[in-house]
Amino acid sequence: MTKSAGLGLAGALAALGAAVALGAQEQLDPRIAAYDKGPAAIDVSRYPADMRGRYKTFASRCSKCHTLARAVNCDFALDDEWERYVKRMMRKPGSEINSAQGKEIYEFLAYDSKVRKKALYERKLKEAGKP
Amino acid sequence: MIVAAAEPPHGDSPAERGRRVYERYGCALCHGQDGKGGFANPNAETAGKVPGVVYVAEGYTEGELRKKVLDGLATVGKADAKGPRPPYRMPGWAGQMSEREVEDLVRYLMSLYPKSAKEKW
Repeated sequence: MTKSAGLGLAGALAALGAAVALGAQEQLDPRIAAYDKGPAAIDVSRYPADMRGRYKTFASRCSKCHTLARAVNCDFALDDEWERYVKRMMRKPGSEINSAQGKEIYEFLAYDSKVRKKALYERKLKEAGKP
Repeated sequence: MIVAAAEPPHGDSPAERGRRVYERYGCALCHGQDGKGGFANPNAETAGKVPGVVYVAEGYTEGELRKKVLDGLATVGKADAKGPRPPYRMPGWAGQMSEREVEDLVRYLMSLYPKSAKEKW
């Protein structure tokens, strides 16, 4: 067996061993667990009608695989953060979020961050050096 | 388990070296040789499958992806909350892969994004 083949096998076995290691799998990241415990809805009664419509898409699609509270309370705020995150979710098998829905969800979350998370949004914008 | 990291040969592109890291560490065992995923992970929230990595470039910055590789995934959500725990999760590679291997792997993963997929949404 060559050195690289040996390392390949060792790496593969390590991957498999680590991948099936079950001991630490029960604990959610405390940061995410905290998001999950927060409010599970957004009061959109004062949002524009088109954003209220997008909220429905967000609430129905983004509670399928995780709590809606996770998305409501997480610390994403900037447009590019939401764009990446929504696309990540779209690509997950079983998310059943199509491109049109993904765009709606992104537009809602980008708007919501500028209203409900205004201070966080502005702080992150400043930290990122964006105008 | 600590795995000895082979120093990657010089001369290749980072993405090419990263492809070998992907193979050497067994990433393909779950994410597939072509990165399309599909390996069964019963009761995982991701339709009972391990997700692919072909589109990571649109969902992660290089820094975010590096962190994901190093940290792994502590938990995999259940499709059926009352069902069994999904048996597989991604391990963190901190302390196992060298810094260069991680960088090369990230470059490889970023390179998988199909050139035809130009639509923003």
